[in-house]
Amino acid sequence: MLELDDLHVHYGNIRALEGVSLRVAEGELVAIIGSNGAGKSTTLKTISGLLRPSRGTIRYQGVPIERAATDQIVRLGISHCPEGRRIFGRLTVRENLILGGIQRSPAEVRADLEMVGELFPRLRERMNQAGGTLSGGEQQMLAIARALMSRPRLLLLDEPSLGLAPIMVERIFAVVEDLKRQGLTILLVEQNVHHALDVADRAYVMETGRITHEGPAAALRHDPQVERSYLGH
Amino acid sequence: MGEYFLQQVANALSAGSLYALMAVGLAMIFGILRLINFAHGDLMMIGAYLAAFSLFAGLPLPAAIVTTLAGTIVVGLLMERIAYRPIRGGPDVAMLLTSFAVGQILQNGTLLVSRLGGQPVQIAFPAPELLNGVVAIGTLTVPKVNVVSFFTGVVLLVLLTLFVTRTRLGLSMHAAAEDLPAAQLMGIKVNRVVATAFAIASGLAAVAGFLYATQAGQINPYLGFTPVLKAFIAAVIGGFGSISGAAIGAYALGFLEVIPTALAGIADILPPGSVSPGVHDLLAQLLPSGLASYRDAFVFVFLILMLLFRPNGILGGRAREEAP
Repeated sequence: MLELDDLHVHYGNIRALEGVSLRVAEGELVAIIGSNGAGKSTTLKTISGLLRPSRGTIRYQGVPIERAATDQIVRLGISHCPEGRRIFGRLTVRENLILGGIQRSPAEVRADLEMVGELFPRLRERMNQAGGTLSGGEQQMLAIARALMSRPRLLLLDEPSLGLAPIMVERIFAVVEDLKRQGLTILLVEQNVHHALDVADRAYVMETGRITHEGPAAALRHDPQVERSYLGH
Repeated sequence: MGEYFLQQVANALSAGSLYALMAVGLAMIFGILRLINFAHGDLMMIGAYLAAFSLFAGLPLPAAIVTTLAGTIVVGLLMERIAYRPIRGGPDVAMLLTSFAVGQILQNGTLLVSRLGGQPVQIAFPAPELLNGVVAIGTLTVPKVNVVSFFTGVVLLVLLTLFVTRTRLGLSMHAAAEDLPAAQLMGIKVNRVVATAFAIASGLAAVAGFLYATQAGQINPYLGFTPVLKAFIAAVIGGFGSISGAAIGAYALGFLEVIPTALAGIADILPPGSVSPGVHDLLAQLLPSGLASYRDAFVFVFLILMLLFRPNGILGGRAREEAP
């Protein structure tokens, strides 16, 4: 479904990605793990068109998208739920959700607001509340719900557990597993390696802009080097 | 009592509307691009010239208004496309300096065109008949154009508010102003949102230019300078980047500006007998000449105090939270 091939990205003179290649098959949940600054978020931003690669290709369902604008990429069915949630704090929960579905017709959006209400009852109670007044966990729920409003086939999920209380982390990962069960393809970036490897089918390990390990999540969990670096055993 | 004061209130409302038409455009563009578009005053000047030339050409008023609006909007859109889009996302100071350059180009371009057309630098504005004369409200007489300015400003501000709060494009604009990359991730076409903001701001500047020229009676290529500064101050007073804040700031500025003049009439509204006739005469003599000429100084002192004690403006509240 998604293929990254030899992707290079620069921030000015700083090389952020140096030849990243990865694949995500339809229906898979693939995790990218690694420490801060390894290039995980940069990879997602490049897929969604916020950053331009200096070299390499990104194919989505066979079509090259590395030069496409973000709004075209959203239209193709890729939705990016960014790190730090980035909800519109001064807009209401409902307005945030409407914005998530901005490319679709008002009638479809209205129907999907119902669906989101069922998936996230907490949000339904807070539809008219400003996004900025929600708790961290609720904001993350809203960020995920908003990303789903465009009806994506591929969800890019960046650090959904960041800064959340353990009980909220459990809930967020339950939602992620739910979405996977419903057949959504997910590319997950996560520092919480335990959880990421629990829900993922496969995973890639990134270090300073390169992929250093890859394989089935279950195998990576027992890889001595991954254990030492990320799982703290 | 009162008549002198009511006159000042009428002046404040009319000036406030003109400032508001400029300030909301400035705030809208700043909100999305973090660009203080100092060429915004020159869009107003372009509007005034387009109106003048349309009326010189003998167009009826509605046609002149349409030409003025359409022409200014085209100039505003070209400005965005040619000057600002290529450096979008660059350092704020690069955008600011570009706006000064754009302003120079528009001023000298206008000067060139009007000189080639055999016109002097200063042109008498052919104010439409409809806007000449005065309106009597009770004992008060107000120039018709001031009344029209006030109501035009209010109506356009209401329409703008409805657009921003009730339409999807308005919602997209709000999202883009709050967090541009996040708005992009929603699939919002940022170019379209930015162009819409420029089109609306240019249209409002054109209306302001038309009304300003009618009030002033004459136009020159540099007429946009003071209004854009005033609009900037209004936007700062209101809380930069917020449309409603800019509108409130604009009317506040309108009232601030008349305070030094209005004080001259204070002797008239003091209860009779509360001051001795000598003091009364002294006030009446001293205050008008003494204070009215300090109008701009008064406004700037207020602005400085505002920046010291309430740097986020009237509507700004606490420091705005920044996206991580």
